[in-house]
Order: sequence, then C-alpha cells, then structure tokens
Amino acid sequence: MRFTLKSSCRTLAAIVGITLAPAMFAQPAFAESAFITQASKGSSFGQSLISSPVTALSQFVSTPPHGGTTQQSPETTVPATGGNFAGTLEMGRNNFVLQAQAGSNNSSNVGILGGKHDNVAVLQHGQGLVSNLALVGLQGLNVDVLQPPGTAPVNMLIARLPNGLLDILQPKGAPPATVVRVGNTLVVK
Amino acid sequence: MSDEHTVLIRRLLTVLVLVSCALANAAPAEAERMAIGCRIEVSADGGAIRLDAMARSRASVTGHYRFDVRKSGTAGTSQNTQSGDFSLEDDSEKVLSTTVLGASGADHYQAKLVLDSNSGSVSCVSP
Repeated sequence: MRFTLKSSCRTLAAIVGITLAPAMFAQPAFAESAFITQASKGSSFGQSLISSPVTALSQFVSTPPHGGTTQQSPETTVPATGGNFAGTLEMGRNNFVLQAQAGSNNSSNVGILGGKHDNVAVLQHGQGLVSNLALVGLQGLNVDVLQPPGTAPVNMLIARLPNGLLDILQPKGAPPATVVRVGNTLVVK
Repeated sequence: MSDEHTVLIRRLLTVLVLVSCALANAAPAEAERMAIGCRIEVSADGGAIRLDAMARSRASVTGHYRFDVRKSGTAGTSQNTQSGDFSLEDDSEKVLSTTVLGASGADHYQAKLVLDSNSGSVSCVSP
C-alpha cells in the first residue's frame, strides 16, 4: 500500500510539475478530506495520535432519553474482566456518594433509599475488595468505608429505628465490620 | 500571465505535492506506533446507566487507567473514581472498569477515561 502511494505521488508530482497548464489556475480547486468521521450515540472513542495526554473536558449534558445504548458489534462484545466495579443508587434528596477504587477486581455498591443530605464515601485500595452499603431512611448521616489491602468484605445496612437509634445490620456469618464514630461520621473498617 | 510566473507556480506546486507525499508516507508509521484507543460504552440497564471503560490496542501494551464518573440529580450527587493497571494483547479490547448509576431522566452525568501506556496516552469522555 505504501509502495503504491509513493509511486502515485511520484507520478503525480511529475505530471503536475511538467504539464500543469496556466488555465487550471482560473478554476477553484476543492479537495475532500481523506479522513472519515464516525460518530455513534452513547459511546465516545478516543484514538491516540499524540504522545501527551489529551485534556478534553465536556460540560454536564443531559442523559439521552434512550440511555445511550448502542448496538454492539461482534468485535466490540467483550465480557467484563478483571476491572473495578462501582454501583450507586440514590433515592431521596441532596445526597452525596464518593467511591474511589484503586487496584483491580474491587467491587463497591452504595444505595441510599429515602435519604436526605446523607454523605457516603467508599475508599478501596487493593485487589478483590468488596463493599455493599445501604442507607435506608436516614437524614444527614455521614459514612466512610475504608478498605486498605486485605480488608474483609463489608456488607452493611444502616437504618434508623423508630426510637431514633441507628440500626446496623450485617448478614449472618459475615465478618463483623468495625464501626467507629468520629464526630458526626461513622467510619467502617 | 508571463512565462516566468507560470514556471514559478509550477515549481511551487511540485514542492507542495512532494511535501504532501512525504507527510502521507510518514502518517502510517506514526499511527502504527500509537496503537492504543479508548472508549466509554454507555448502556441502559433497567432504571440505571452502565458505563464501561474500555481500552483496545493493535499491539501489546501495558499502562495505567483512570476512570472518573460524576453524576448529579435531585436525589444527590455521586463521584466515582476508579484506577488501576492494565495490559492488552495484540488486537484486543478489554473492559477496564464499570460504573453503574441509578438515574432518572433529569440526572446528568459526565465520564472521562484516561489511559497512560507505553504506547502513548489517550483520553475520551462521555457524553
């Protein structure tokens, strides 16, 4: 392909240099781009053409009503492998969830149901860490889940009892998580 | 138009064509060297949005990724940051990281994936 291009260019250069007639300059010249622009809804693609990071920022844009689903072609249908997973479900008002994962095979799910002004932070650093946290009907509660390497899975549901006390539930047989109250924050380790 | 002008213009055009050909020959080599690409796959999963951070490469590469997802809506705000190392075989594509967000129609999200590899760096955003 390259040989063909070179040959074509040489031939073209010779033709242009020798036989180009002055009359051609009276005609405007148009050239089409050699690149084909492709765009697909619901996915963005970046191809590296430079050796430094591209700093492209976009503004918050409304989610497409159709959810941005794209039909996967066979070559792009790949199974989920070895990566981190984070799931966030917020139902209520003015809640905040931060999930930071560094490493591989980490999994974190945070659910806030009927909460108001709750703040949850899950920090995972390691491999194969698991955290599942649910807050039900709480207001203004701050929960931090800290999982350094080797931490046992955290599976926890926090709700407020009718008498006003917090109820922390864990599944039977699960390794008990350490819950420490620091100021207005529950720290789960 | 005088003959001198005509000759001059012909020479200039010849130079332009030769330069263009040289650039055209150099471009494929550059593209071969930078073989990595990224993509953010967005799909609807029930009432949630699933975002898969994907990397693909034409050559074997290793590197580090960072996937940032922010979402805001009436129910609240969430910020997910996922990072780690990755390696890709020749002509392969891999899901590096996945984030699922519960979302209503009024929610807004922004995702950005950055790959730093021994074959260069690339980033992509969604939407």
